[in-house]
Amino acid sequence: MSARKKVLLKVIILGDSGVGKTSLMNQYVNKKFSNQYKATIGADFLTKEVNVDDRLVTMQTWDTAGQERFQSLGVAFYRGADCCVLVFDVNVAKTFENLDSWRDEFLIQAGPRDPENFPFVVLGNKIDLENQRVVTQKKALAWCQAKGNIPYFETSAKEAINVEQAFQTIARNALKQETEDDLYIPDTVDVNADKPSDAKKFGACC
Amino acid sequence: MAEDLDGGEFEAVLAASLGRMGRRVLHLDALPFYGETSSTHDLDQLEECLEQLSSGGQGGAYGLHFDEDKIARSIKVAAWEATECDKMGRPVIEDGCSRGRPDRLTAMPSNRRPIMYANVRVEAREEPKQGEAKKHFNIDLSPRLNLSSGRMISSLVQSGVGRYLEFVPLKWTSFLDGSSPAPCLCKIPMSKAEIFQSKIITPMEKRLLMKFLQQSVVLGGVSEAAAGGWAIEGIGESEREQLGFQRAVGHVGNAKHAEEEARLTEKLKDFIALGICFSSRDLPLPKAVERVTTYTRSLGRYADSAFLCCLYGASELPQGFCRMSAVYGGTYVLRKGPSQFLFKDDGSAGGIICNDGKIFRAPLIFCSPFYCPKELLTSPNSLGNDMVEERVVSRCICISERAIGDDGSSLLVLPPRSCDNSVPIRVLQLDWSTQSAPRGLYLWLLWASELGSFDLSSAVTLLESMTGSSCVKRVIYYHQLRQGFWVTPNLSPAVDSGEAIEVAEAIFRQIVGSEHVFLDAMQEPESGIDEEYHKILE
Repeated sequence: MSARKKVLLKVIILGDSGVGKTSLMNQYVNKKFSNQYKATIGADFLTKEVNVDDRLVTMQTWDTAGQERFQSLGVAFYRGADCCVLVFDVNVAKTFENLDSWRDEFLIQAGPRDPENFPFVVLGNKIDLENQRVVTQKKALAWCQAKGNIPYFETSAKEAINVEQAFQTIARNALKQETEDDLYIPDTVDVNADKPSDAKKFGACC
Repeated sequence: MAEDLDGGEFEAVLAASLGRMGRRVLHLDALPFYGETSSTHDLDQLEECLEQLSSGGQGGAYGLHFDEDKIARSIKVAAWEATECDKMGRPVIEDGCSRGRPDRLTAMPSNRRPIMYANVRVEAREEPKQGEAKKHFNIDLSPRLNLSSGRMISSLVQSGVGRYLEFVPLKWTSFLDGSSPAPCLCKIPMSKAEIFQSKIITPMEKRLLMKFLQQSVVLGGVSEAAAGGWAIEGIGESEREQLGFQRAVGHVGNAKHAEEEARLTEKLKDFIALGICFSSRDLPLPKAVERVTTYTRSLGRYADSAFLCCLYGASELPQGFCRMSAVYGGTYVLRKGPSQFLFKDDGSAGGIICNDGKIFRAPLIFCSPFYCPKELLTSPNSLGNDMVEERVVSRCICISERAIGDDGSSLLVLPPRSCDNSVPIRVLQLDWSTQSAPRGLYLWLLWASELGSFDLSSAVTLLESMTGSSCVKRVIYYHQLRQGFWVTPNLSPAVDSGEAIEVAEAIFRQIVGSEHVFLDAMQEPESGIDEEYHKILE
């Protein structure tokens, strides 16, 4: 029925408040980091052209805009996601424990056609704070394995550790999802691609 | 300065516009989903929602049951100042944040038994076969379309909220022609060529119609370039100036237009009123001109059809505006609603108490009729008394295995007296292309207003006889229009979604005046973040 001419990947980042979702996005796209925490304001989605196996794709990474704080994201946020990134803070046990509910929330709200094979990527963030660490790599890997071999990266948005690698994997797995989902996506209109009204099309006859 | 908002589409637009210009917004809704009456649901959720929000269900599953004692206690516990009651026995608390002598705040309970729907009837011949298929529905409680050149789409483009959304053009619009023995569909032509090819009107009528449309475009001040799909000649700059002058000196154009209108045949009047204005024949001329011009400007703008449907349903709109507000710092809390509204002694807004006992102080409160205290529902509001009225929209949702007319999304108007109706009934047909139903099934969303409670089942029977098949399932319900506080257009029976924007802007203007841009464009994502980070780094 349709094949999107330009490959646009929608990636959403989920996880508890304060685990570094916005910082990770910002480190990846803008190569910037700020140590000061401020609950997300002004972050919407960041766009980056990515080269995946010699294919140029546009990756849109959607921030929660702070709506995750009271579990009030709404179903629209999840629509049409090609990959879901789950983030926790290796220094806060609760953020790791909550990965289960974030994953469930995604599967219920987004309702992917093939939940078993939907691409997730897990990021254990803030590994630069080594002496405060409470979630071991082993524990995180075991969880990822149990959920169908989800790729796992240990990252630091501050020191830019593993961020590039993680997002490469995110883009590659999202792209796989995109091609599989093509059959189900109808042709749509983008109101922002504002073309002038095509009066000629009709004016030519009569 | 903080403002509290509750509710649906219109509240979302206000939250976005006020958040964008720097106001602090707290958006609460006791329901577990966004959009309230403009929400979209899968099949199971739909039934639950209608049951919970009707007189039978009373919202137990959504936590809308309020325990009076608990709230009374929570007012005392949460508000440490709460020590006295007013003459009516309502608790009075001190406003802890004012300087000097704190204002006393009087609590007024919110609407404890929020009921939006009445007489919900579910009739199923069979349930959709696979259990999984029930999830693949996106059913609108208040179906709405977007005119391509209407206020909603232009606001989405201007603000940048449109980036969050995808649209699907409506395939065709039509009205039922009951004049012939067997009822048939009159498709509304979508281009000049289609008007001339149309078999439903005579050549004479075609010329009259073109002339009327041309007049409307001229009257509407539409330029040639914007005149859209019908390739109707618009007007040049000088003519427009002249027209402005004519308007000022006494509606010369209108008189000419009325003359033109008088020459229209009955069929053409139906054609224009039902098929283009989506209204009944008694629509006042200026309003009709406005609708005709917006319609003609919408044709061919993004697609042949004048209308766009939201992919995944109409609730994507309020959610998009909520996201805009959140991006600009708005706080969003679902599953938490107001239990008390707090007012100062001078009657102005002071804040709210949530159903968990938390107090939020705010100088501005926008409240949907859903939560509005009963005492305030009847008081006239500052937007004019014409909005204070009781109306009912009768609605019906059908799931069918056959499509009305050609495949695809479409809008059909059943003129008065098609069955036993006295006002037009709108029928929106949606299918998989908008992700409204699984492939092979069709949703028929019927609605009609100002009839009191009107049973739409005769209209469904008519549609069934046209398609030669009976519906798999029907859900009939009545949507009560209750007005008050700031009146929401969420429940209005309009076809186009632009009304929400108009009312939100009117209120926005009353609050902040004219110097601020309504729904100012969101900054480019990158620059937005940069600025934020710069601020932090400093």
